[in-house]
Amino acid sequence: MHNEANQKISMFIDEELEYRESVELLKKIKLDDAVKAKMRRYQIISHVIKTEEYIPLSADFTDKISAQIQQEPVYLLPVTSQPQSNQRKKMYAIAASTIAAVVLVGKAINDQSSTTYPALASSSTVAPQQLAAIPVNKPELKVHANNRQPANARFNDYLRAHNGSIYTSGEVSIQPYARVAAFGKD
Amino acid sequence: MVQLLIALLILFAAAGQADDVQLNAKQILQRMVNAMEVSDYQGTVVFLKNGNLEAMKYFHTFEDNHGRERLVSVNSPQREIVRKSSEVSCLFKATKRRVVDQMPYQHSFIVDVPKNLDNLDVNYQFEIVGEEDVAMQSAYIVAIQPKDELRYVRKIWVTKTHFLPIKAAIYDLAGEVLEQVVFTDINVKTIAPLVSLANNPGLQNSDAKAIIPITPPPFSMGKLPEGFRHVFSSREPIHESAQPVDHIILSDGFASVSIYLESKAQEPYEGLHLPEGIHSVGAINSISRTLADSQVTVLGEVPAATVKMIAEGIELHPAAQ
Repeated sequence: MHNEANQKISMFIDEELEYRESVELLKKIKLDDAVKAKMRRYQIISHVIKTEEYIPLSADFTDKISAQIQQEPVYLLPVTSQPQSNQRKKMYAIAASTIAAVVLVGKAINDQSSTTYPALASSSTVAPQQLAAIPVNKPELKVHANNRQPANARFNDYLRAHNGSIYTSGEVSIQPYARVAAFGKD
Repeated sequence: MVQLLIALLILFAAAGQADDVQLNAKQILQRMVNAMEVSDYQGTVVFLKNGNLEAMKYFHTFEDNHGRERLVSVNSPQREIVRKSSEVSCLFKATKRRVVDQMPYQHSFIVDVPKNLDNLDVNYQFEIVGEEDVAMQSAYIVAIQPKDELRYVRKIWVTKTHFLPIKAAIYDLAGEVLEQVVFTDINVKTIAPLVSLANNPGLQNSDAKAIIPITPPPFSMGKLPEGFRHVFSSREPIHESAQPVDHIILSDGFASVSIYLESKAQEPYEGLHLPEGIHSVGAINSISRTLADSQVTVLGEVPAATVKMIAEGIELHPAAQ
């Protein structure tokens, strides 16, 4: 039974759990602190495995985020499609707020780890004391749907103008001079 | 008579061997530069960059006194890249879009080695460090060792039969491989015809911007690392917007460094410019800093200390401030 629950949490983190089971799991997380704690541990483990970095956050971080979301004003927008059942809406709301909290936790960890990236792996032997005063950032060349994309696009533009090596990179996100806005989504 | 023939054969074989022995590292590289330009050859080449492997089909021809390269990706995203002299066209097959770039400096996707190596003795030493079979081709291993810590070590594997580069690698100062290019198979003088991308009616072409040379650049450079010299300047839009970017290329023969200067005030919205500080991607290091309301970025396949040294020496001319 425990193994099944653990497996579901693991699948949820890897975005492999089916919709219905995800909703059930999210309900359990909301009601059961033990499941919530387990979810958080799995999230941390997953993050550490993927990034080899861990920055501890307080246990009530997600609760604070959820509380903030609850305090957000409600905007009454015109409905453009047939309303779904109230039960389904509630499930979406629970899922959205919990996923938002999980994403925010992950993002907070990522942001902290990127701004405190300890050293240049490729130049660790080059007079590190000379470089200590300069903040080091580790740009990601992959296109991400976040606010770092413009800076990454600029970095790619620079690489492309510098030499043609970006064409042979496996992480191609080249955009033409006459850029097509939707290219990154193609 | 037969004995005389055998003796002659042995003599020729010995002469050939002696010729091989006499070749030094620079001579091998010079032969390679020539062979890369005039040979017709093709193969499968694997690029290892930034932790990613990318396999591509490679074709090289010599037409109209110019070398032409064609790369066709084996894996997604499907793309075909053609270099004709300094013009590089990249066709993305899924979207049928084509990117056209002018590459004023780089001459090959595989490895760039200057024709005249004598000028590089101040900063590099050349040495044959071994022999190895790569893709079933016997090859010399030529090491290009910098004499300071401001540039990376390079090794090039050059085939003994055709003097073509079959493998090349860039190492950091700790000896770790930063980037690597290696042929998994290579065929010389067997070539598929190059397909012209320009006349395909289904393509949506981007505009190839004319490069406008600028002299002098709107900033001064302080003391450059030994051996680096100014090889190219331009002012051209390189982003989505039409905002011009001043672009200077410095080179020491092997390593090249770009300096970009652009106004932060003309950016259409916040967050476009790179964060201040050093960025590292594979062999590429870059540093960005703000000068008045402009951002200067120094970027190249050199150690971080080198881009830092160049960036710290840059000062805007009073008229540019």
